[in-house]
Amino acid sequence: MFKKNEKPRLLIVDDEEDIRELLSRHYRFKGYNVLTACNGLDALEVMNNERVEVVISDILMPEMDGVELLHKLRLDYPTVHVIIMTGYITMENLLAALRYGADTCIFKPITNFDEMDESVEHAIQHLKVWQKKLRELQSLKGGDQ
Amino acid sequence: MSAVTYDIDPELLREFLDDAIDNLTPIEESLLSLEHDPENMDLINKVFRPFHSLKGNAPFFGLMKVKKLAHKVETILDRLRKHELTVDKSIVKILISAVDLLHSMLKSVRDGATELEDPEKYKSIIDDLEISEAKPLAEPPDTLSKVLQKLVELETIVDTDKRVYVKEIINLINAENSGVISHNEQPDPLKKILEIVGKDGLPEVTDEQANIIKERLKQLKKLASSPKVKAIIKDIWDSYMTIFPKIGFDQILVELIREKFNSETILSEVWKTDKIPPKIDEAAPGKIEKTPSIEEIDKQPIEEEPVELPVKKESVMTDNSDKTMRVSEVKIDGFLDYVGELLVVQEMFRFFGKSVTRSNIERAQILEFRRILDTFDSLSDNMRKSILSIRSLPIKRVFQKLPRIVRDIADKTNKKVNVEIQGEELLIDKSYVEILDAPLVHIIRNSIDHGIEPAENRLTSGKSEEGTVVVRAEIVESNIVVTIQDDGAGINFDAVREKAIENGLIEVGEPLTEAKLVDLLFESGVSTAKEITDISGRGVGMDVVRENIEIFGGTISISSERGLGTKSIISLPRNVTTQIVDGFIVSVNNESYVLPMSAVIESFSPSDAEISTVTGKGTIVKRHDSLQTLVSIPALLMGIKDTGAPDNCILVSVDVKGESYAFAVDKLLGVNKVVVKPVDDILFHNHFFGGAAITGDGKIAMVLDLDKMIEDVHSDTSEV
Repeated sequence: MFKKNEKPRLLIVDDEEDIRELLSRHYRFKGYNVLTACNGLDALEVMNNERVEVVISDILMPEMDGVELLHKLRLDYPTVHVIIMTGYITMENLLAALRYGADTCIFKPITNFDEMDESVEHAIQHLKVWQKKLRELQSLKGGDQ
Repeated sequence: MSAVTYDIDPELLREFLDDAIDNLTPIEESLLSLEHDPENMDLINKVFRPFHSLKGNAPFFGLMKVKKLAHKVETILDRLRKHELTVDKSIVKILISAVDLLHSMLKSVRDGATELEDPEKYKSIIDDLEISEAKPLAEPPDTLSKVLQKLVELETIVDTDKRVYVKEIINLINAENSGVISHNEQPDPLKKILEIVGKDGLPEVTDEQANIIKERLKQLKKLASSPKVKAIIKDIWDSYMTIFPKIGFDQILVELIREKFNSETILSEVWKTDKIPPKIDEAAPGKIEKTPSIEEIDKQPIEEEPVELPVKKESVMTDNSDKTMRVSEVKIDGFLDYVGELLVVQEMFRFFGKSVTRSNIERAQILEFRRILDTFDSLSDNMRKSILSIRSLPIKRVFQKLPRIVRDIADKTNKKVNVEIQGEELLIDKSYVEILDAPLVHIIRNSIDHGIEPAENRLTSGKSEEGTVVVRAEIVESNIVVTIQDDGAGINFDAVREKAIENGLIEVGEPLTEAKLVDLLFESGVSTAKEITDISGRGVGMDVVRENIEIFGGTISISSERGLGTKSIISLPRNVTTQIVDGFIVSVNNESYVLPMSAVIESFSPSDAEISTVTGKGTIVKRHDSLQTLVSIPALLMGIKDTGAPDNCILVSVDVKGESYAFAVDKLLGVNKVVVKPVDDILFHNHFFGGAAITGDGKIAMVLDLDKMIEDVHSDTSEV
């Protein structure tokens, strides 16, 4: 069921099409599988059907904003990583993002991708470490030889 | 820049799936139990948790469909938890079919297929779950209030007081059902306290008000449902009792009360209501009971469950988180062998440790070695104990059937017998359960058949009409000892002797010690029952019984007193399979032997004056004012007559059947735990040896069977 050497999967959530395009292109070029959604609700639909490693989401969106999405993700997809991006945010919102376990927050306008790239890489790395740990546990237990 | 990849490790996935599949099995059982026990919160929570984690973990492994299904189930379970939905047959049914589907989906993926091998089934179950989710809140039981209403209207309630109370109950129930009295309403005591304390400033609290607060706090304690709130109230109570007597109603107290009683926890607490006037007998103060059984009314009792009864301790699922595993016996038995070997290794280490100590290694390293050895020792000990405990069963298993057997035989033979069982909780290795079975039954049968006399005979000889058989299990030193004692007629040795002569086992006129007579009992063919009854008359049996016990290193002995009764004692070593013995290791003629430590009294070096040879008795050693017969092991083994004490020997005093003997040895090698391995078929003198042991230096030392050796000594001397 699972093929080897799969590309890691990102979900870009933003109500602005330009941003979605920009980010998708950038990350597809870097070798990631990219899905997009235009708001929180939409994003949850996608999450419902596809495995996603990292979500990069805007805060201010109609229907369901980024913080609410983040909250919902924490409930239903506790292992997914979330990177918040935002142009405008109150301290309260940022704190909420922190509380709900966002990896980090990237401020718009995004002139340089370095910070975001690094965060995405960290996220993937983190998941890999956990897989490694889970495998290690197996070998500690001796496995079923 | 190399391409970034992220895969789910297939082995990890398999492991996860195996786990998840395993976790589903107990859930099915729990769901079935839930059907019969719908209010059981424990069960609901138990089922909720695995779905909650499955829902969270599935996406990590890319199992989105599984996640969705688990999510739907979790939602329903959550609603059940919060009493937003009630458990009924149809919900349980849909839950079970969801669990089934989940099970097959997980299996599917595990077998390499996709999650959704049957998309239609998936869709239909998801739909069903969604429908169940949306069930309206259960109807409040208004049958109760209807019945009560009828009661009030009936003329049978003559006592108008009672009628008033019943009416109040009806009102309350109705109000509660229609939500007029919300559960979250602050109880009066709380309101009162807050009133007195006020919102800010330092209120003037009179003594009377302080007392009111104190009383109210007490009441609140009873009305609180959750432990958190109880703790808060206790806090305040404690502070109150500390501060108030000394300083009075201080600002601190005021602030404390304000703060705590305005907290989220208190505000959201669901208080028990205490509005029923305490005079109604059936309603316990402080709680609303939905089933006040009104005794004076001859109506059918109301069937509904009271709302706040204490949680039933007898939950159907009693295993909680006591997971069990099925393991083949062979695997566990295998462990025991290793344990035995481990002990030998321990000894090897110890032996090595000695040479390490003597060598030129630094002291620190020696200490380190010792430390490691100690750790190894205790680990190995613990391991042995754990493994043995896995195999232990209470001896009750064997004893259980005895009373029944006693009753049956007693009935058949028209005797009155009472059985007393002692020590049935003793834990024994399970192999012993099988070994002890036949002997116990056999002995008990003998007891009743031959031992206990018929009731009239007993009365004539001044005994109680009812005979008693006592079966006792206990631990003596490192043995499990089972004693069966009856107060019957004792063994008729004369009859035994005759029968033995009849069978050609002994010569007429042969002098027989009691020991020998008892031995005869164990010989096949020596039953003195006048007729061979189907119970125990065949005369075959005791010999097999003894054989079986001895194979396991145990002993069986019988003693009897004419007219008083018979006592049979079965002794089995505590350690099964591997016999581990504390051994006193000696060297004689460069051969190592093991003397059981339990028999060794002391060792000493004889001065010539203490030894003397007496004709007919061999060589005697005088020690501590007692005379001990000298035993020379090589002499015995080679069958040559005792040649007196060798020069420069060391003597080891040994107790055998109450008498002391002095064994002559060349060297003392030490005291160690040794593992005794049985020896079969050694051609010569093997009855002197109880087995062979491997000592720390890897050599073999024969374990001496002292009883047998001493027998030989005596038979030797009697020939002189």
